[in-house]
Amino acid sequence: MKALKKIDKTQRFLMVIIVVYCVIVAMRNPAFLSLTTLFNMVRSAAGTTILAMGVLVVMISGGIDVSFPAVAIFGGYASLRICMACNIESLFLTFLISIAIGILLGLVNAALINLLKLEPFIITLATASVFFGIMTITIGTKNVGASALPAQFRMLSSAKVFTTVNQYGGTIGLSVFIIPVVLCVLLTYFILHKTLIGKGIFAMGCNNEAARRAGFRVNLLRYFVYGYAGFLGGIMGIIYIAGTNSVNPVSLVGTEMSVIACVVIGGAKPSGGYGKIFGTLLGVILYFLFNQTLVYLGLSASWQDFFMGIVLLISIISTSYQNRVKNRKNFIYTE
Amino acid sequence: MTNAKNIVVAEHICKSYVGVQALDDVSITIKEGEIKCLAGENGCGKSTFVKIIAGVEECTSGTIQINGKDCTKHSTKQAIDEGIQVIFQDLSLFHEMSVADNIAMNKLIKEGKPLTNKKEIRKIAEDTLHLIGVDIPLDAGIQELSIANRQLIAICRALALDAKLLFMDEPTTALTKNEVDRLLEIVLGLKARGIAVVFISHKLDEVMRIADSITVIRDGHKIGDFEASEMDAQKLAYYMTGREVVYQQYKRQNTDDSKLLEVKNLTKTGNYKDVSLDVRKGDILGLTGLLGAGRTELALSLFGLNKPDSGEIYIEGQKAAINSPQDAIDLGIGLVPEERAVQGLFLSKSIRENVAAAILKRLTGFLGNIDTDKSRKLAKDAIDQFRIKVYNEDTVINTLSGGNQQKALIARWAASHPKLFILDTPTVGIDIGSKSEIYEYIQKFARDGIGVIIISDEVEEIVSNCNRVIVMFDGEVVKEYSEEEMMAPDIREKINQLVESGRKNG
Amino acid sequence: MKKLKEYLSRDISMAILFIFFLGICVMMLACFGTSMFNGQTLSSMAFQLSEVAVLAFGMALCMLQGGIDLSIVANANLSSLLAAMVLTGKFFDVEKAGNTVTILVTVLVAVVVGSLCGFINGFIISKFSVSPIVATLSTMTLFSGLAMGITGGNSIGNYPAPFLKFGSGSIAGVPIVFITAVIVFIVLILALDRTKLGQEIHYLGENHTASRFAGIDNEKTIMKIYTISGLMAGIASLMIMARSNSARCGYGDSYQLQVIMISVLGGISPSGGKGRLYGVFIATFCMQLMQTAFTLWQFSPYSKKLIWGMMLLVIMLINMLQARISRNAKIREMNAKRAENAK
Repeated sequence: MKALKKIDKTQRFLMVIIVVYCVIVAMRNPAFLSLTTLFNMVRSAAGTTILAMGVLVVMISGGIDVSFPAVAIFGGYASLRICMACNIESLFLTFLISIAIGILLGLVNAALINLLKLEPFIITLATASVFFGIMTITIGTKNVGASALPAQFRMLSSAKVFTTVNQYGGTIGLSVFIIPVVLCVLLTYFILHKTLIGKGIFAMGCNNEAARRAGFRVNLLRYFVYGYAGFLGGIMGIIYIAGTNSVNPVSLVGTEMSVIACVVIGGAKPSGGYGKIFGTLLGVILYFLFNQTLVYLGLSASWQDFFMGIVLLISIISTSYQNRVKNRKNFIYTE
Repeated sequence: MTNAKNIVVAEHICKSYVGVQALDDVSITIKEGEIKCLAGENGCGKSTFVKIIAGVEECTSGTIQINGKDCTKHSTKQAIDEGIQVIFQDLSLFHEMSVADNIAMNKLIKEGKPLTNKKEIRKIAEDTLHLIGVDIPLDAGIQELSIANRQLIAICRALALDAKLLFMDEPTTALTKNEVDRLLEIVLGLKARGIAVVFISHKLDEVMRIADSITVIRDGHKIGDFEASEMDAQKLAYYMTGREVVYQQYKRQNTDDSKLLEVKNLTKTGNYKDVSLDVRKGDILGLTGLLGAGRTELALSLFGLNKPDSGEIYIEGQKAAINSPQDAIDLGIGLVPEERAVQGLFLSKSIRENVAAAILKRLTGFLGNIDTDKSRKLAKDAIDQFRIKVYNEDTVINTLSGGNQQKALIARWAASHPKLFILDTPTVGIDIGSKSEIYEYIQKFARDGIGVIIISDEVEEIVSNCNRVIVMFDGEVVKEYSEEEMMAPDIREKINQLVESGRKNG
Repeated sequence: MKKLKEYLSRDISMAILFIFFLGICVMMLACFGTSMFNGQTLSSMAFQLSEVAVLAFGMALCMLQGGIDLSIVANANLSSLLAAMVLTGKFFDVEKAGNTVTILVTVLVAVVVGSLCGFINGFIISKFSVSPIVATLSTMTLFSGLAMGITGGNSIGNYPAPFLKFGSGSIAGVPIVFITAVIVFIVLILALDRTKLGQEIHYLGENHTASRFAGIDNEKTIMKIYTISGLMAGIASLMIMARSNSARCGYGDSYQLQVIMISVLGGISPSGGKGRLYGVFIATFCMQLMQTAFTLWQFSPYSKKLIWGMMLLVIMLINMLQARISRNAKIREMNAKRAENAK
């Protein structure tokens, strides 16, 4: 009961949508209700979930970041090429390189935002192109086929936490991707709710000036927030590369809007100070439900963005409108 | 007390912003266990001084010593580590976070433990709330609380940790009598423990009665330090405003007694209740009462920005539906809002554009084109008529002094030829010269047959400019002084007493 | 010349832009010689910059008011797709209707769809108080999602010759699309400087609370601005169709960044209220000059993006430094005056 109380309206709304949608899909195509679907979804949603955690933290702090796909692919692809060039086979080192690059780029974002004091959206939009440009110039855009991938990537790609047999007798398994996802979610929860830094992130999102007056070093916190988003980007980069069959470093850029959409649908306030991990997860689930199951309804997957857009609009309109009514009572007029 | 240690020694503090000299050579010393009151009119620079000591703003020149250490360019964190806590006027709370989080926040930061513990946070919050004897649910969001409760939360937050020096910027504006008494008790307790408390206030109220000394600031200058025992309301007013002149009281001469504005049983839940009033041509009606009495809320309703729940508004006998400022302007209502910089001015625009803002419709030609010549002439006339000190009509408005800015704002509404002119605290943060000029203009409007409503905290302002006064308290009209009553020689004291006694005995 | 100097010293961001423009011209002359500025390259530049210029006008209007329209490119693509479907006979028999009617309907569809999408943005922002970034981000997903869903990602091309003339034809050597862009520019400049709406946009961008208290209908004004921005997308969509003889939903994916960069370079402050439209037009020329240089140098699209991104950052940096310097100068001036008075 206590747990239920914690779930806010947005999350309940999302849960209802997800359940209703699942029921409709299951009625049209019972094959949907299988472990195969679940396992596929976990595998394909892994990267997005990790990125969404980063976006959530940034959004709670009152900022926004659109450069994370560039950060992720920079970290992942650079790490891949370095591993290929130096014959590194250690999974740990692979992650380390990618994460280090991710954090570095995240810090660059924070430094620019602190310096220019402008809308983070415009700044990260610029850095996204800059990061991506630097990557393509320094390490190129060569496609890498699955067979050419170093062993640790192939291992990561095929390893399963456990396997089982489906009704047709084929072997299916839960990808190890679930492990970094769970770790990232737990880490994010820990930071947001169990540390002073987490309190600071919420505080600066609520009221930057008040956080400063209370004694938080807001600029340092911003380094942490964007650095953390970069850290998660670095992890995601490796998972993304392991998850695709042929690595095309150009493909990931352009997905930032869907990740942000997941987070906003999950109830995070773009103005900052409020956001829920559970809501964000629901947002990601909804996105991948549309992604994987529109086919069952006889629609092509091209319609995915359209449905996401509609849910996104409904969700932001309802939360913003409630805020507007509340603000009007306090004589704060927003357009 | 003479050999008590100095906590803060601030010397020759200056602070300039673009266009404003907020503080000019102010030196203040605060001793251990002292209760000091920093007094001055709104906008005199007293809040800026607090921000500089708290490390929120950096001073342009001057030196600050805290506990004997040089802290001239210190951070907020340093100030907190040295034991300085501030209750800011805007409270600086975190609206999306819970009561417990808000109260415990400063203590958590001061202790600097990297991990937080929910139980500990709740305990801090419970203990402090208990200390001042109020009961507010710990899990409530700040947004759900009343202004008074928010003020209490801000006080709790500062009390939660052992400060050596506590600044309170207008801390009692929305509190009930009981809460104020309780706060004063706590402050006396703090004093006994050697903690210094500095109140920031713009009038002589109860907090000043427990103060040891009073420092008065006017227009960014320190006027002097005074013993609290030798200070009374008249003296303080004199020091704060720099004048002892008593203005000529305004008398209405207009003979047309038909009602320009009539408000009948207007109610808006949470703002004001069952308000009825009327304004005739040439009336200057004063609206006063404590903050949160519903005065501004009522004014916003008359201007179409706060839809009332029930009741009627009549303009010249016609029932009026005022749903937006556009409706209000069409009906001939003008409003000079409370917060000049936020609600009134376009700071980086020229005086011409600022004056023209409310009457664009009248300046617009057949194709929707703006007649620039007309608006230029309008601005020139305004500059002449209101004696606004500017180079020309293209001068950007944020380079002007507060008084000249306010005159420009009044000129904007005068240009719209209103029938009813509402001015919400029209002389806040304005020098004495402009102040008396503004009074002169207001009275001229009324003599020309405009109905005027002035909302103000300053009893002097109300008494000298208004021929009728309404005192509001907690959303209700508690007393209306008629023209005859206003002629009584002791009217100032009467109104003063009524306003102060109006504190809810909660 | 003197007048220009006086003018530039008053408006520092314009001066920066002007120096920037001259710098690029000189650099191009140094690298490619005068051959760069022959009639052919100039006219091909005029062809290319028109659609970006029109999109930049729309973006600049929104930013001037303190908002932003991230959906503008998605909107242009959606409009062009729907218009292309009309033009290629997906809705009615083109043969029967004849070219003139078809083209008229096409133009009408593009313009109406664009404006409608813009209006949706304005409605969401003004009536539900959604912040412009989030609102237009969502509609961007929606518009491109709709375009994607309708076409499945395929392009629609092969338009009748008379329509293509709009994209390839010239009058007295000046491309028709460029003339269109200039006309749009003139109309907007007049509207911004001379009309009530233009004045209201400036007020709103400077301080939306004060404009509300001055009796300006903020909500209506915002809806108008975004509708105009959508109209710009509609006009640009026609240019895109006629120039490339196709419409597809992912067209011009670097336009969004470019258009924002042009607006900021043109002196429009991202926080609203400040800036002039002719700065935006000059900035478009700057960008096109560079674009041409990049093509001659055979830069990859990625290096181009890198440079756009870098430029956006550098411009914001310059603006920040300039603001800081002028603020300090003002305070110094004030202190000096005070010291003088004290004497």
